[in-house]
Amino acid sequence: MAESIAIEKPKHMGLPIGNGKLAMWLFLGTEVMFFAGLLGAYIVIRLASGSAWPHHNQVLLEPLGAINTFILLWSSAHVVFAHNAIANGKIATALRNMWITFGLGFVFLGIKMFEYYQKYDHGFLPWNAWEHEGSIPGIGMWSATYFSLTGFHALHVIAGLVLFAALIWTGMRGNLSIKHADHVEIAGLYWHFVDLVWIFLFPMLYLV
Amino acid sequence: MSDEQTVAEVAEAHHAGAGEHFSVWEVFGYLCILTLASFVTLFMEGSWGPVTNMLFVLLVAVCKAALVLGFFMHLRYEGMWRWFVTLPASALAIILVFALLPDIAYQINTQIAWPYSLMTVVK
Repeated sequence: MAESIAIEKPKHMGLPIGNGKLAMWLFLGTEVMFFAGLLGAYIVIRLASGSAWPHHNQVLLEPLGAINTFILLWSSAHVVFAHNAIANGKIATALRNMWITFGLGFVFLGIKMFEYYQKYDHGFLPWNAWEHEGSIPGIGMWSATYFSLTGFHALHVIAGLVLFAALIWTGMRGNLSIKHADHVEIAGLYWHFVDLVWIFLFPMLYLV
Repeated sequence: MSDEQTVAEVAEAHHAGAGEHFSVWEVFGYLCILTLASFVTLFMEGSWGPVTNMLFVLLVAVCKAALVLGFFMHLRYEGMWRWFVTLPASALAIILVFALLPDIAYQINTQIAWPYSLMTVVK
């Protein structure tokens, strides 16, 4: 049986949601504009480059991008399970789902690190990719935009992992309770946003 | 209506709306199918052409984003406030891309690819 928590009605005019959730949504609004700026710059550079741009099969392994998409979507599903579970007082289930999300986040980063290693191995790094301009036109600019977009996204994944690490740590110490349902929801909103960004990065970088 | 609600009731209200329910695995399944559909375009590019290919994968991405926003982030079940919070940022994101179109047109018309055009300006 779920324990009863008193939730006060707002004593002032405002939105009918908690302050934490509202703050996260407003923060996500700024994040939308941040990534819109990055993607907008990418679109300008990509379209303006015309044919002087490497085809994705020259520089990327598309199946890895698809697998990473699947992993992030899978982790997002477990975030929903975690929130449902903790809101119903099933702390162990919530903790298990957060562990799965945490693990899948690391798998995503592991695949991304493998991709970065490949670029390093081929010399497709922003500071020396220009040397390959003769054989792959546009590789320098491609490299700069690829690392900017995926790098900032990976930083957001790490930030999401930190949020879940804090919740898991709380749970491992036995302090996680139904009162933390809002925390899980807010961390979940951030994680879903990270997923959302990748949903657009994947086709733009790996398929178009 | 009672002044007190359990957190579970609040969460259930968030996730279930006014009696609406969704299966997380079902939504996840749709997302996987859509991802697969966009991945398959890798083998269709030759017959479709690049523009059709680009439009298709971006349309699929928008559908996936709508599923994540609507169900996983449960915006579908939120009140009117969702529009006040999400629309300005979304509108600005789209406007930004359109605002950059003249620069794209300029770059294409000059027929000089980046970064060489930039180098020409610097010189």
